[in-house]
Amino acid sequence: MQVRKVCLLGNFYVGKTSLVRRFVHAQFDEKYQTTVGVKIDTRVVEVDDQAIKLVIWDIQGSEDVVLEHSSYLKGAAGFLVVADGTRPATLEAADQIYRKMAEQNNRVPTVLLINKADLEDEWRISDQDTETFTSRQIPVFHTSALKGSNVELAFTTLTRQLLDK
Amino acid sequence: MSSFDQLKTLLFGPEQKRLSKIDRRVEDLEKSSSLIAEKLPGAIREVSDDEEFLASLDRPVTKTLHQTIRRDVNSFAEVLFPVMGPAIRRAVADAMKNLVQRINVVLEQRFSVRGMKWRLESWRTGIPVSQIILQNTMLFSVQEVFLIHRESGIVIGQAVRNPVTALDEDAVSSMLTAIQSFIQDSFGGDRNEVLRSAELGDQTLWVINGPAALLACVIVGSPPRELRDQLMEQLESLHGRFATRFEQIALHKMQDEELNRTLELSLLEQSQETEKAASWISRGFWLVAALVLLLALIWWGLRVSERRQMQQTVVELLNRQPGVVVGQSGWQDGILQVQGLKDPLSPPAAALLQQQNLDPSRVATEFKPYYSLEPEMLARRLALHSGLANAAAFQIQGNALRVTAPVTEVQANRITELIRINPVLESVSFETVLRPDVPSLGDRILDRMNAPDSVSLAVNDGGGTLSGTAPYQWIVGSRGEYAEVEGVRLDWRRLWPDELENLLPEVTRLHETDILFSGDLTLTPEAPATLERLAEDVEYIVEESKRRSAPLAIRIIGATDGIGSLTYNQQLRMRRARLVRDELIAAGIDPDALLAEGSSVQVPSGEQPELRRVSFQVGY
Repeated sequence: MQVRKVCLLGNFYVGKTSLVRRFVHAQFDEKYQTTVGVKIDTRVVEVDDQAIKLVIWDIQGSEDVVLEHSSYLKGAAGFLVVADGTRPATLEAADQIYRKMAEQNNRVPTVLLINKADLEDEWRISDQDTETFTSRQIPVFHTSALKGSNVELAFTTLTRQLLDK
Repeated sequence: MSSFDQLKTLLFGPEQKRLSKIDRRVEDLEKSSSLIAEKLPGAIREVSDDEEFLASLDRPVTKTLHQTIRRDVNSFAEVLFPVMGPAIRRAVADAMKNLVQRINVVLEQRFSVRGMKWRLESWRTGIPVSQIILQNTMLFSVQEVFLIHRESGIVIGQAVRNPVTALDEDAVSSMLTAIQSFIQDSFGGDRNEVLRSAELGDQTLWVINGPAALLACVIVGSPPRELRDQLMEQLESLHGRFATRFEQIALHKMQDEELNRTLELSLLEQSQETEKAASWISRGFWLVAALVLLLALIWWGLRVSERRQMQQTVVELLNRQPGVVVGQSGWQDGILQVQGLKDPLSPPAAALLQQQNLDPSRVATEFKPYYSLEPEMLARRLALHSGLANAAAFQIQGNALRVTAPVTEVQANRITELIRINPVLESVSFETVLRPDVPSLGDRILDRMNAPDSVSLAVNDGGGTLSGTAPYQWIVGSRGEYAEVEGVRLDWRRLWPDELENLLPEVTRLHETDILFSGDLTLTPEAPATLERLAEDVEYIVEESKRRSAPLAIRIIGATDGIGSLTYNQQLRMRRARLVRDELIAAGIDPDALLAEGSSVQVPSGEQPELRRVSFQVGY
């Protein structure tokens, strides 16, 4: 079985931890995130009859973290960048994060998750706004950690990209 | 040649020549470089010892190395890591050895409970103290080893003795990597400064860092510093053999048997067997010591118990005895010391102990005499003073005495007298008092004379004969006054003075001895010797009685048989007595104490040789 480290990045309160909770059976207490700044969970995903173990680093905080704790990103095979559909600023932060990340890690598979799809009425982000990502061949998913929609899809899409590499 | 070619030659002739010249040179250069490439290795080999060649290479090679290292430090570190580690460690180990020796000396001099324990163990086993300390401080077991890919935090390999972690190993190793990064980021500092260890209770987590992977070891016990070096060696060896495959193994989670086998070598352990063996010896030692102590305790306990038992028995026995009061008792130097009071009439303590089969030599008594008022002792005392042999005849209840044996009136009076001065007894009753209806004549006479009890009187037709003993003065004073009482003539000669009791043997001998005659005044052949012996007794009697103020007189009585006339015989009797008296006087005896007289006893006529004699009578 293959193993890959993936990092979950994004601004505060975009719902990263809720997304992971949707996706995995929790390994560590969430207090790790507040103390160490990272919480790690694992899950085995099956894609195209192939099992792959994802070691998911749920990294706390803003875009600064990419600079502050850049070592957290080392060895990562993929990234999940998360933004909050109700807060355009989080998409800007996601853009910055991605750019800084890309500087350090060449062509690492990435997916963008616009979370809180359950509050789509209050969304202030349009497809136009995510064009910067789609132009970079980065898949964009509208997810709801609350309802679980598209969460599996986002993760499996990233996983498939990891396998291709 | 065509006109065009001619024109070309005219126009470009010199250039064409130059061009073909250049062509040739290029061709030559290619030829010669391939020639050089072919020859270069051999040529270099040939000049490899040439000083000039080496000097010319020095600068470019150094420069190239500098540049390459500056461009890619990690690659170099990775390559050099397996080589440099051991070399550095060896140098450090040499330095450490000296330090450890110094530490040992300090430890050897150190004074602590633990140190003392180790010292004692060293003394007992003969193993140097430093070795004991090492033994005691090096007990550990590496329980679990993870080889973790440094970048991704994914587990490359794992060896487990007893699984300690309950979580997914990748999650754990990633978290560990994250914490490692967190610490590095939080406390800044050098990238090469890394988390080395973490402790939780008895478990220690050691992180051994390599350039491409790190070794996380879960250790139980107290790992010594040397273990880190050993683990480092393992990591170096892993890097040396598998570094190129680390990433591939990580990403594909490949089970590399060889790697895992190598990793298992890291499950190091310092066996506790030696300590266990030692502790068994120690346990044996303590067991024997405890046994000896137990036996000693039992022996001591038994001895104390035996002594206490004996003390109790002896004290009870003595206290039970009438006339004995035990004040205090205790053991001293193996002898039971008993102190108290004892009535002299009570039997000796040793006799009592012997009766109870107790060893009198183990008991020392110290009794002060006292006068017991216990009924038994009162009875014994009354029996003694009353002349009544049986003490059981005296029955005491409270302060009343009852005498069960028959007593004479005299005894009853005496007992009554004794009761009067006794502080306990107040009344006395007699079962039987022997009271003669009419007092005998003899008793009446003795009463009248106020004779001592020791005097008895036998009355018969001829008169009364006094016998027994009495004070000399009483005898001398009374015999004149009471020559005849109530018509009975009394014979005082058999009464003997109390004071002269010790002369009785001599007196008896004298009374029983006769001096015999063969003719009128001729002694028998044996007589002189008899007389000589007799003189000694006479002298002793005379002198001793005088000394005791009760002077005695010796009557020398001459006798004859019935031959011859009465007158002649009377004279002969006197003459025989005088003859013997003279002999005694000649022997030095006071003449005043010697009285010669002729016997007035009538004798039958006829020859009777045994009557031809002189006999003696002692009187006063």
